[in-house]
Amino acid sequence: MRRIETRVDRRSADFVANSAANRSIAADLAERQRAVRHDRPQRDRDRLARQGKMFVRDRIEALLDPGTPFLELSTLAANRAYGGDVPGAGQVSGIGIVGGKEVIIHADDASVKGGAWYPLSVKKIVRTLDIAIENRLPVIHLCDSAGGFLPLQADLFPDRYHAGRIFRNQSILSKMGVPQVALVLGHCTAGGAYIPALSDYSVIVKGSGAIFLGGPPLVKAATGEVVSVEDLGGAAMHTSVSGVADYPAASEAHGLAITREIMAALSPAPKTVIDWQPPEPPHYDPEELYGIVPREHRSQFDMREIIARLVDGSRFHEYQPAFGPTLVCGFARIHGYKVGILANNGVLFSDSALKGTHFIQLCDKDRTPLLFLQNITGFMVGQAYERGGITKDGAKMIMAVSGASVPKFTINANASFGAGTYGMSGRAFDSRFMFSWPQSQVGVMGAEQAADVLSEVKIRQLQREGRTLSPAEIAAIRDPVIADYRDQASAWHATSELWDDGVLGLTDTRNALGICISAALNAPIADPHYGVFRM
Amino acid sequence: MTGFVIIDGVAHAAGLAGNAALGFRLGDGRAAAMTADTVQVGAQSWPVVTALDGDILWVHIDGAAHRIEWRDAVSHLADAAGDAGGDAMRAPMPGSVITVNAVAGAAVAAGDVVLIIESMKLETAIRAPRAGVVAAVHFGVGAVFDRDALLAELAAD
Repeated sequence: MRRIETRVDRRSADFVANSAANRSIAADLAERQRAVRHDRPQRDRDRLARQGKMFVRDRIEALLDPGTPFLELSTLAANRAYGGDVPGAGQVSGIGIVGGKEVIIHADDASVKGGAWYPLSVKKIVRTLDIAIENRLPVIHLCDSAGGFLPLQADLFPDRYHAGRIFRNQSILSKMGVPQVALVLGHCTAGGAYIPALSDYSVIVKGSGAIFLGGPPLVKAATGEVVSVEDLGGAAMHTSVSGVADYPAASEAHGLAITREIMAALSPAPKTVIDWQPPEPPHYDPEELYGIVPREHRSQFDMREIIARLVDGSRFHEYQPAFGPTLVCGFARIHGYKVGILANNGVLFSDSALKGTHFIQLCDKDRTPLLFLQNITGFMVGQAYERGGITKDGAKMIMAVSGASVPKFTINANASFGAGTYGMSGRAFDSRFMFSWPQSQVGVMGAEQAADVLSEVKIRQLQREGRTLSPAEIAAIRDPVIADYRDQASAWHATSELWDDGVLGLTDTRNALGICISAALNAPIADPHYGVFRM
Repeated sequence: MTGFVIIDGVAHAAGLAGNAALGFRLGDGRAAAMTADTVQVGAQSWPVVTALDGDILWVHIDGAAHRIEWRDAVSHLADAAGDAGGDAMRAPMPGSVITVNAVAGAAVAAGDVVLIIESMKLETAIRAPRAGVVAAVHFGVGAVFDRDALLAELAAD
């Protein structure tokens, strides 16, 4: 494959200004992640110490194979919810290597509200287990949760994707033959008790670990029986009497060691084989991404320059270089794995949508995973385009994106708006993994357009009432809408709500994708088959 | 042939086949080998001094320096056919012009921004497809155009 020839001028004023802006955003991201991972009130730290418990990050560190990478997912979940008081939604989730096996870890963070499950905690756990199902990744549960956060129970208990889904997903994983190991490090009460019970293997730590449907206070209130935690659901009882748990552990460190031994003892599952070559680093320095991604959302940039800093050797075989140029399609390698890339270089027209549809089918036949690099404001509008059938061409692209059997990966590199989000495999289209760059925006339309539409509606309404508005009055309607809309379209908001699997630093993207592609190959790839393409 | 070695401006089709550790074989069948400071062809060998600059290798041999460049086949053949980028700068989408950076007669380098257009709330830079002289800019600031409109063109070489 040929190397992309860059046209970036690293000395240009634009490059320098973009670099400064994007490096400052990168520093902001790093600080937000650091705070979510490590800043806790001293009293919560003290409580853990009193209970003889390790901090969740230390548990994970001790669990992973030394020197192997860990891709944390949804680090900033709930960063804009619950007054910012529930960092990471009280959960740590991520992909790592334990006992030589790729696994996904779900860990309650007992330093946050005692590990209580908030609605977004449940969403994060369900997503973690969905990733396990889609990619057949073994799961390690580190259980230390106070249970559902009662004041918000209506938002985390009854619905289809609420807490029950955790246990449904566990059962489906077991049915698929994907192993789960639970390590009980705190109290697993009520619903939480089912996590170890539904895992193929469970380990429980003496003293701090306990499993019961109702804890001692509830038992006393219900039946008057007075019983200690240890006798009701402790490690000795469950591993020698009830059989709810399998292995007693003398300490957290002992429990983590047993968990590692269980993972190492499992037979490795064969991985799906796709085209792979020994990797080479990108020819162009990925740090240059900071100078290429524009500081202004309105400025367009050439996605080939982004591709050149993500892929092996900056090599790219471009498909249909002269047709539908607003969608760049082609083959490249990431950490040796061949991928088919679809990247936006402007709005989608009929020709670009047809090219994308065709290219997705080529990749599907070729057993080549798909990478979508979004910078899309939408499909072209106007009479000529409607008459040309742009809607049915967009429908073809959505049909291909939805139907493709090969794994899909999506990066919102700058913008993801309107039907463009659908055509470019947005969250609803089951990409195996979806990440946002920190400066990216997502929404049904851009902030200015949304504000225009909303203020236009308001102005007409007032006009019907016989009032005319001064420009100042119109601005008073429009400006707050723009501010609100921008805020909701931000990557911080998107990742808070788990519309993605995390915010990725620009220069971390290549390595993260390498881990994701490798993880995705734990699942087989079905033969290509599609719905009806509207011709 | 997997590409071209361009020695002092002259292109030679070349490629690696089989196991490079076994050495090289020239087009005329002679065996060749190269180390950091020696080139050997058949029984004869020459001392060399080399410097690598990206895809360009400078080789000093027999008192003269030579420029050796590796080009992949597709890029080299496209350039050879004069397909490296035409004279025309066309509109990728319908819109209007917001900035004009070059006038007729101005010299531009490949990739220089000639115009900036706005369409669907996006600002897109229209860049020179190759180095050359601007022959004409067909739309002024504020002018509206359709997709594929010829916005500007370079003078033919």
